[in-house]
Amino acid sequence: MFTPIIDSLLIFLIITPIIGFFVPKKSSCLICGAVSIGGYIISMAYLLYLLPQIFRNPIRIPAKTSPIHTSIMIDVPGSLMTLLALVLGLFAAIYSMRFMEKDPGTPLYYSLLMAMITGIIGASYSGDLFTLFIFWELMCVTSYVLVGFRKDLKESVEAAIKYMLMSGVGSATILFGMSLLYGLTGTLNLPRIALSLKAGEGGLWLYASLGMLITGFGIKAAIVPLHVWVPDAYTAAPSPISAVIAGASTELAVFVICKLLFFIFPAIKVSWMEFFAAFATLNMILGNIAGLLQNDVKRMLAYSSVAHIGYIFIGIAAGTKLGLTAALLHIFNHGLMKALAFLCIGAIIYRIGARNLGDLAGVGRKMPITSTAFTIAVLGLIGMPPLNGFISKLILFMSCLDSGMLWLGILLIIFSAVSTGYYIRILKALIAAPKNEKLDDVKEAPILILIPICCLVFLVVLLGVWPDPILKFAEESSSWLMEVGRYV
Amino acid sequence: MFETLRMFYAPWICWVSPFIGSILSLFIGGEDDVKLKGMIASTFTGISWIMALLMLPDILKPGLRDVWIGWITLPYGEPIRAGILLDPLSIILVNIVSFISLLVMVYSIKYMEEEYGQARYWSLMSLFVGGMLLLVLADNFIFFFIGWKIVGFCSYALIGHYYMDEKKYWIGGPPPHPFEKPSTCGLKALIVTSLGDVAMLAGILIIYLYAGTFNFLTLISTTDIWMTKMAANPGIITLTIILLLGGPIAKSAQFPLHVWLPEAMAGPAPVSALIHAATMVKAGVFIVARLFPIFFNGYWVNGFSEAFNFFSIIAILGTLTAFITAANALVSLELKKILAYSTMSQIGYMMLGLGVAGMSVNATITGYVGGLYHLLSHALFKAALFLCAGLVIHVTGSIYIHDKGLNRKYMPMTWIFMWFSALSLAGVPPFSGFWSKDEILMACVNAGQYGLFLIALLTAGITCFYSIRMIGYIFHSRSGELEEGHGEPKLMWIPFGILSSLTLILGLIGYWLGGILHDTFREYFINVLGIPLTASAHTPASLTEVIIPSLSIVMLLVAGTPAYIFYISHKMDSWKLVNANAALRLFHKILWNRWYIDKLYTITFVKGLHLLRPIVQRYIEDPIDFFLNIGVPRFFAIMCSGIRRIQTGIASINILYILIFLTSMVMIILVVI
Repeated sequence: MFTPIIDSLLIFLIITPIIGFFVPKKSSCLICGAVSIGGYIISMAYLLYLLPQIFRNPIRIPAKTSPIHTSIMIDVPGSLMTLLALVLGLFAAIYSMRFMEKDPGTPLYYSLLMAMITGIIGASYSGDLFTLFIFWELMCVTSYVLVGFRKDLKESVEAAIKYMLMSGVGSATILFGMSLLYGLTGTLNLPRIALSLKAGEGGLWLYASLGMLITGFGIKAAIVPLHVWVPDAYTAAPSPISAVIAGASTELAVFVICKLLFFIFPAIKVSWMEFFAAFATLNMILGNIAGLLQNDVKRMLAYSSVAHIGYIFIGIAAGTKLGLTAALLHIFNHGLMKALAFLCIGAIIYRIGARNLGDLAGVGRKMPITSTAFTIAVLGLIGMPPLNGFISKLILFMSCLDSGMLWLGILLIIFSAVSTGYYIRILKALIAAPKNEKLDDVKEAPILILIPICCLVFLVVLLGVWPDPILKFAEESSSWLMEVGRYV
Repeated sequence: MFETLRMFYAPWICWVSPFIGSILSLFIGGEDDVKLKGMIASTFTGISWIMALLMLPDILKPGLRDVWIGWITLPYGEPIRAGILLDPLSIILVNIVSFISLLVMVYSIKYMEEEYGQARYWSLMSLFVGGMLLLVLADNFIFFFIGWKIVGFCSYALIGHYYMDEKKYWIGGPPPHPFEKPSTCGLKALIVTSLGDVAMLAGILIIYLYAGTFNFLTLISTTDIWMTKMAANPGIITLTIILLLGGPIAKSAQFPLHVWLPEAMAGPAPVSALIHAATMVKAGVFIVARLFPIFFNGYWVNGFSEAFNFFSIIAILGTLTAFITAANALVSLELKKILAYSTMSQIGYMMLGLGVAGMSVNATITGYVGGLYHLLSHALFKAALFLCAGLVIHVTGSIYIHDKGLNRKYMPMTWIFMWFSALSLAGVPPFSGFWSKDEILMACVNAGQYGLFLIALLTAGITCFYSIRMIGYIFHSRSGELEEGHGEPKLMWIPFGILSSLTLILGLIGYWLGGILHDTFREYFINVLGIPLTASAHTPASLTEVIIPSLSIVMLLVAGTPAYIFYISHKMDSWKLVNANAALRLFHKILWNRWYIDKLYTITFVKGLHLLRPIVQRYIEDPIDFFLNIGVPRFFAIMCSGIRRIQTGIASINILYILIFLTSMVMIILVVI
């Protein structure tokens, strides 16, 4: 239909609930999880098989495009995002096989999760505004349901509704912005829009369209002050869903913003560079400082996400190829680290049923593997060498120097230091208090929960000690995004 | 297939496998499961050794292989690569390190049976070996330095293995003299070597600033370019040399940073064997040999006179260390301390060899080969001696040589092999120590450094004296021989048996082995590195070739005879002699206090800093403390509670934010444009 990468997920998302209908309720979580994993693996295998080809030339589906024809464009930058989404989706599915076993309706859960991943992949591969919007909505709608999946908890329903309201407004603004663009250029195809805008059409309406699009995607990307749904939604969602939303879907919004800005709007670059410098500063300040006094670990991680989006915006604000490389690299690295952190706190919640710093005291002795992984995730988020967070922060800093925004780079370092203030509290809670009577009968998390955690730890460490492959990938992606001419 | 394995994968597997062993031995097996953990660590070290053997054929036809993968490409910089440099130097070192480490590991399986901290021990030992192999194989300063620091860290942790400081693990004394605790000794090693590491890092960065690369080969081939830039500011080259040498001087325990090594024996005996023979102090000699072509190129080919300092510094410091520490070994009573002093002294010889090699083109090959050859033979006999010492101390339960009184009948293997190794240390023909030491002495004469030659010759005599004294006290003392039979576990004596037999075998073929090394390195310098050794066709005058060995044999006899009389035949008592003569008594006191160097350091650095403490606290520490611990948290707490008000959690206000955001953006755009 589209491409095997998306199709296999679509097929499995239909098969999974059907199988779930026939298997006994008791084991449906395990079986449906295993089935859905098949979809991710097929999709990922096909992506890896296509990758060398993609690096030479993007693949268009359908091959011939008309102005309003929908199209999928399998290119390098989209593949970076897809790889992240598939990895996180796969790990979230494996993780959920134990984590969600007590919840009803798990066949549907896996199906929704796959639909969300499909949405992320489709949106990152989209070659025109219509496809982008359709897949974007697919991701949004499924994520509302997943955030409120535990429908008997007041907290999660409330968060889902708040999230839906804001995101709905966002979708409306996105649609408005897109229609303005269509009106200006007469085409939906992204490379064509880019070329016709380059030719000098636009004017004031172009700014209006850009403003609409940034606002719309900015809600999902958690630009301050549009971030207000983030702490509630991340906290209320089941942990694997928090991991996917924080690690892939928020990153998708940032990725789409990058794609739009560098692909379509390079003509008015000077103005959006300043805007993004301001957004980056706001996000870093708010995310890091609001995180300091949180007691709920998931909420703390949500604020840290806000701050990290700020770091990514630094790369966008730099506006150079290096800046874009750094931004894409941090999108990928932050996705892995943040997902790891959410999976770890999820494992702790699974065992002790609490997520406040006070209740965590001494968990490190009882769940050593999870706690070690959590420590690695947190150190990565701080930006400690030799973990991957260090590499991307380093390149972000260099991109600031490169484009003459030293002050932004210094802010990056200062706020990384401030953020250590709350990350350290997590570490302290994990290792403090050798004795805690409440935790006496707590065991290490089950193996199905540990597998994704250990794999992510491996990735976080590997990309830190050997960053060259992913760095090359990000560099190649940014060079594709910066040169529209290569697509035509 | 086999060829690709040999050419490309062998070096990588070689250094990675101990790291894997380190991780596995940490997690697999229970805390007391010494057999399993030991087997894991030994197996992975064994794999390294096999890989090292696979690389060995390359040494005969010296080539240069730089196998690398991209590690990180920072924007605007040369890509930093994860690279392996294979040349005769690294191949020789890798073989020595992995082989000796393997034997030490096997030995420790028995030795560590009843000790605590198994997981820690085996994991760190493997990491130690892995770090050393990494630093030897690295083709650039970054990876080299990573290995260097891993080695430094592991040495700290392993020296302080008995970190609970039980009284039986204390060293020092005997009783009227003060004792030291293992954890303090580890700390001492860490502080002193880190001092050198920091200096070295500064040196590396200075070179990077001028040369723009960390790669050793590029540094050698572009010496003329970057050294010209450096030479523009007089003094910079000398400064860089001094900073760079800080690392090897501290790591290889050379004067004036040699103070940590005597205490480094506080750990278990296999650890000392590794530190002394394979993984720690040899790193310094290695890096000097690795940097040698760079500065050799700088002075002899491109004529930067400052580059000469590199050679003169190491030659002079090496000689000084050789003499000072050999003299210290004369009076020590702790077995392992004598061995530690002898290590420093022998490393001094190696440094001397490398130093004089650069001081004259006539001596280049002889000196360089002499340094490496001595490294090889020292690794063998010193590892053997430490492993023997471990067994001896284990059996007698005393760390001093004067109350051992072992009977050689009950420990025949230890007796034979310890004699072998000690004779090799003393430089007695036909053991390998004789040939390698001879090579260094020859290099001194070839380079025309007669002063250094005389001191080195004198030191050879002292070495012979204390070697015999050590063995004499242990096995040939007349008083109270321990009668009961002591076991010599096979797992313990076979490793040191292999090592000390090897020093004999290498000694028997020593003359030809030296010749092979000469040919290899001549080929390596001239054809591979492209450094023209103009006078390398120089044939040493046949007279010197005869005179120097004869001189050193005469020296051995001069020093060995009194040692024999004092300690083996017991015709005279050395204590009576010393007590009767005031000058000798004074000399003994100075040596016993290690020339007062340690005392001096304690007074200046420890006491001096203690005096500074109240002032620093009052005027620097307290204000900072107040600012950081009270000011900053209060500031952020206030900001945090202010910012949290944004987060109302009320849906309508949230939607309002979108409106505000959108309108403010539109307003700004309208105003700006």
